[in-house]
Amino acid sequence: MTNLEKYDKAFIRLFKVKKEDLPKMKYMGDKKWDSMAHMDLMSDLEEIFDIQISTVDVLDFTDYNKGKIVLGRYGVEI
Amino acid sequence: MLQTVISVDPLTESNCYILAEDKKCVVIDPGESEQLPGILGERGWEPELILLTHEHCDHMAGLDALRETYPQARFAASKVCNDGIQNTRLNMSRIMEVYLYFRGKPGIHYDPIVCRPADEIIEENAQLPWRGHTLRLVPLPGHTPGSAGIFLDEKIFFSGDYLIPDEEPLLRFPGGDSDSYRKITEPFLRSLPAGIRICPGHGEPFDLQKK
Repeated sequence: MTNLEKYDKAFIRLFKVKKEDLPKMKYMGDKKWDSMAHMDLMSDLEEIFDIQISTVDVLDFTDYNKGKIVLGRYGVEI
Repeated sequence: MLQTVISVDPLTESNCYILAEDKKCVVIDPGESEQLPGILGERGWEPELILLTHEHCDHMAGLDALRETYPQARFAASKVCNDGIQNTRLNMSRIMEVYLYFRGKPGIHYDPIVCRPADEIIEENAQLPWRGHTLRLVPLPGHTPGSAGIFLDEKIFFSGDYLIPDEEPLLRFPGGDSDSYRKITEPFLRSLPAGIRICPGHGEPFDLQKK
């Protein structure tokens, strides 16, 4: 599985959305992506990519696309 | 005569309950390590038994320091709770900084922690005699896999992160399970008798009223 597939799978599993909806997803822009879900997502991505995301970066992870940039800081190229 | 003291961690607002009989005590949920030694020292109380309502760090962050100071104290936990305290994801310490930020406490540095394994692994529904009293554990999954309620003499119920005044139970942390909550924990909590003293993991104790 590619990094993009793993990334998308985390979102789809958590938010129960379709792949085509992913690019539009924003933290707090969708009622499903609230603070609890955000922590869950971060936890999942840490486990999937074997990284530890700093608090600053957790808070910087504001939408689906920005998330790819954030993960890039940890050597995860998507 | 049984004496009870509650120590509230100012950071996480979690409750640590200390039950004392003849200068020996049980500590439930040692969530911090700054206030607890003073409380015990002032009274000359020595912990004999340490229990957790669940594995989250705000309920066990002071556990190892307590055990260092009182090496004779026995920490007993179920296997599932014991596994959780040793996992920074399940014990929530990994995301505690973020959680505190979302709870209106930004800028707090909180290192991920794990605790040493329990001295004794007990059944999830264990009954533990202690100085003429009985502590009975009831497995209550949902908030965490290792969540348990603890009865003291069937008169007082330590509910952990359930039955917190004005708050719905949080079931979406890592390890949380809304199905287990619905099937096992919620019916049990509804079956608690009116009048029983509830000692929650956060907030003030209260006597249970039935609707």
